[in-house]
Amino acid sequence: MNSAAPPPSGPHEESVSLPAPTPWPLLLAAGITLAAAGLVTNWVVSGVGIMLLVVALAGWIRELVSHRGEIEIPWVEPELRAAPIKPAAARVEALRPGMPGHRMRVPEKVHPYSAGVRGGLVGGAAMAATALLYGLISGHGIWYPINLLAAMILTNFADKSTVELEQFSLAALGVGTVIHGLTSLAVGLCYGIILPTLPRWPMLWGGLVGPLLWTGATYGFMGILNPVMNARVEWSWFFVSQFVFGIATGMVVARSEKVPAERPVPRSRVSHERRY
Amino acid sequence: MAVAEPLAMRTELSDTARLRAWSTTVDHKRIGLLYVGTSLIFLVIGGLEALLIRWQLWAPELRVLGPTQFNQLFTMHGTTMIFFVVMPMLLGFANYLVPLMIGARDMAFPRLNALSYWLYALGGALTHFSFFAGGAPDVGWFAYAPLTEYTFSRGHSTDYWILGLLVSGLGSLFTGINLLTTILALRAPGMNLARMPLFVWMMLVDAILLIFAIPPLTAAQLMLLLDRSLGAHFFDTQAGGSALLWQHLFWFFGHPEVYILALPAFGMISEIVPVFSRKVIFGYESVAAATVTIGVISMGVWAHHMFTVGMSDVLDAIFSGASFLIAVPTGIKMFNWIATLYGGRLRFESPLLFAVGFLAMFVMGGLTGIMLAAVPIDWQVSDSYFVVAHFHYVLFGGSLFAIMAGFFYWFPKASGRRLSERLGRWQFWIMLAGFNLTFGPMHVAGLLGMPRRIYTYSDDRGWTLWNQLATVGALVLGVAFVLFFWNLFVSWRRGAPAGDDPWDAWTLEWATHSPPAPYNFETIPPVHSRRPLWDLKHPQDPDWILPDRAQPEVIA
Amino acid sequence: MNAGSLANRSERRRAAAEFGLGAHDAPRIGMLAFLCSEAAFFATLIIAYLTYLGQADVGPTPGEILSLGLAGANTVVLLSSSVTLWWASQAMTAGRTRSACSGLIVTILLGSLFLAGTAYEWRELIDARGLTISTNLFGTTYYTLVGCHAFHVTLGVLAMLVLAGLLASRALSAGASRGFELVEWYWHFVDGVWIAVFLVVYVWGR
Repeated sequence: MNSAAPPPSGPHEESVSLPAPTPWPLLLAAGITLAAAGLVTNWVVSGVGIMLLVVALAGWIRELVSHRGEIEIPWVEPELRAAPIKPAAARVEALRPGMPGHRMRVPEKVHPYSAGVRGGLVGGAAMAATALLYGLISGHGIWYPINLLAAMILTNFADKSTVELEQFSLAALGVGTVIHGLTSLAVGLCYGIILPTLPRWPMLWGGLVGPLLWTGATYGFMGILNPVMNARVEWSWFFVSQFVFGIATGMVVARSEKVPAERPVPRSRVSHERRY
Repeated sequence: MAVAEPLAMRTELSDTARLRAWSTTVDHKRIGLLYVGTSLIFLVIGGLEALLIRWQLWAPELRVLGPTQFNQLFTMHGTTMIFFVVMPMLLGFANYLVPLMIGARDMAFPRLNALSYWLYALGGALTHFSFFAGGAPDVGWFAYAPLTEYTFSRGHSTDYWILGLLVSGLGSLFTGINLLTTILALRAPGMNLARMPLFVWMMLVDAILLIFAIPPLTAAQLMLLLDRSLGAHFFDTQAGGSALLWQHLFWFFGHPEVYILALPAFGMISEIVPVFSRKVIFGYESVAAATVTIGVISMGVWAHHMFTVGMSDVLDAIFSGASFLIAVPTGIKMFNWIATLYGGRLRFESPLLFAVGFLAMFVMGGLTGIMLAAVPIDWQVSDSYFVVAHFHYVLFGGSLFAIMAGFFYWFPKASGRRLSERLGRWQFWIMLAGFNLTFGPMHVAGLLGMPRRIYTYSDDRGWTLWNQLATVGALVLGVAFVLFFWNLFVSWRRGAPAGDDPWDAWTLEWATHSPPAPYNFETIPPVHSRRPLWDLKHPQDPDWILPDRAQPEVIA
Repeated sequence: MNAGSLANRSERRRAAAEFGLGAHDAPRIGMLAFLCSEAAFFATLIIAYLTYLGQADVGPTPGEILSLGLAGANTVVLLSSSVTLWWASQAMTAGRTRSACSGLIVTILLGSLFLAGTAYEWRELIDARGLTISTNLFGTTYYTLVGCHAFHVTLGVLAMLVLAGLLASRALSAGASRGFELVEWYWHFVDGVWIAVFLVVYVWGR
């Protein structure tokens, strides 16, 4: 409790050294103002202003250098001092689960980050499966959806024909996998953080509202994000794959064990915090 | 609760001695009061100018004022309110409160602090001296070139505008440096950055904004001065100069300035709402982080004032996007304040009334702000009364309501007495009604196409009703301000004694006597958490964690 | 600038104990903040210079009339003044008042020489080349940028004159002086600004 000790004012040292009142700031400001005012009135005003400025600056510097600028102010009489702070008579209302108390923290319990990661991976796999299924059923082959996704980065795909886009491409597989994996992970993590803050039905938010929002946004922006996919995408399948992702991720996240949001601070950190 | 009569430094002084004491003071509390007092005087001036403007616009084709006088009045109203009222008022509050809140004896540079104040006061006086020296500035508060060039603005009125703002701007810059240094260097033991009151956090970001936003304005004003007095060509379009450069430079200052005016208000709200909800602020970290984010983004949104000048689509899109983006941290704060109120034991006294008024009015201003950030809407309503309505909701409904909350909250600390609660309630409701009556109809007038800054209008435009509503509202606002000044005047001498800690609050300024001694604290209370006074008042349930005890607030 | 707020060293030490100042040092933070604002100021002027570079309707242009030789010599003078000031501050810290004083005087002389060089250059430009601030956009931006820098150099020279006077009259004791250190920071900053100005105006902009 080192910081609880009163400041190092000795038993008989009941005074404080403070800067003394000084006219120089006022005079310096007046000098600057007059010097400026002279530009629109008369140069004599500027001259007076600059003289005042020099005098004030000299006075100011002399005050600093000679240490005459400090005065010792004794403590005021005891009745003018602050009364010591007493413990309050009233008791603090106990915190109740689910109710906002004086230290409200919502949510009380959250999903661990691992749940978000798992949810993202599972949802991503489900979404990929849906996309491949589309490739097979539509007759374009399984590489087609992957190439379309990769066209977001691989801009030269814009010149390719549909037949070329059905062929296997190692670059597209790599790029597509990275895009898909990272996006799935990011969205999964967001699910883990956001779902516990939303009321009542996690599956409504995660399985329906979430995919609805971002599919809408993607629908609007696809022309800019990925013109190749925009030209060729089958929107009904696209929507289905998004909802598959949302439902799968939502289920995984919602089923995971929740942990308290605030964990007790370990002792080592407490003592670390009190170092002063 | 019996509270002793506040014993200020009641050694009776003669008038000259008192004058000398105040003019030579380097005490941050006195300088803070000087700032606030001076800005109140300018508030009266700016308010009277606004009333004259509203009188002139009461009916079509009125001739209360001529066009030139009208131009002077709206220019001086804007300049006064922004540079000589709201900004110094907030800096005054910061001056008074920051050292007390962080447990310091004074600002880091007390003499520089006095210099800042005097530069502000004399710069304001210099600007207003133009009224007696051939006419006040009439080029609008953002003084667009080439209107300000000597060709179009003869005489010295624009020079007065430049020089007055240069002088007071120097003062604001020094205050920014002073506040930054004070907050970084003079905190009480135990008060690390994560334990500072949120008002201090906001002032920290505010100080940084001052330091980076004012110099470009200074440089631009210097260029303009050279154009006008030495025949330079910076903004002289005849010689290849660019009127657009002025706009860029001015708004590079001007938009951070908006946040310089808003952040301290946010800080006041962040102090008042928890105390009157009897709860910890919800999401302290996110409020602080949102403040920093606002500070960063506010440096990159200036050109949204300039959508109509014809920048490229890409620039329009960038600045529009950045302006939308800044709504996010601001919105985060709104939710923080609302979540703090939620489930709290609200004490609806004047400070909270004004704070809640701030929340409602600021949301309106923020929403129209998002509308204006959309380029097509801005093209449609730019420079109309819609814009006037928008920024009055932000600066009056936002900053000024927060300042009022701040007055009611901290007046007892500065005077030892409370402001009258009854007058405060009257003032709040009259002000709320008058404010919405004045500026609400301006949205409509603007959408109907009424441009700002016109001195009159014909009666076939359909603007008459909206203008008359606004004028009536302005008079109602005038009544609210009369109540406020009366309340200040009476309560300063005869208000109910307040005691050290009238609101049962938690930050360090309430650990001093009211009014505090010149050196602020005999002993600095220990700081272990964000609410040092709570810890002392509730030793069983402090905010900080004892190492040998289970954490109390975790619920099984 | 206002290094003396807690100038009294015992007071500062006590404040350090009382407020846990430790590494946080108010005058240094304040000076740093001030220099940041100065950097923003000069950045604005340089942006204005670059905006109008080559935009002038009428001559003369920078390529025609700016002399790289003179500016280069001036640059060498100003940069060497930074070195001498650094040397003086080393002497100051080591407690050698006399060498500190002489280093300071050499710095002041170099700074004045730089100002004289600028004055000579301006005189040539105005009298021989007919370039004034109102001739064209180049004159406007050039004189503003270089003039603002020269004004800052002047302030620095004046500050060092005050320091030298204080040192000579023994009002300022040897050993680390906060005022000395801050003026030194300011001077190095002004030199840094000159490097930027020199590169923009005389090298790149020519």
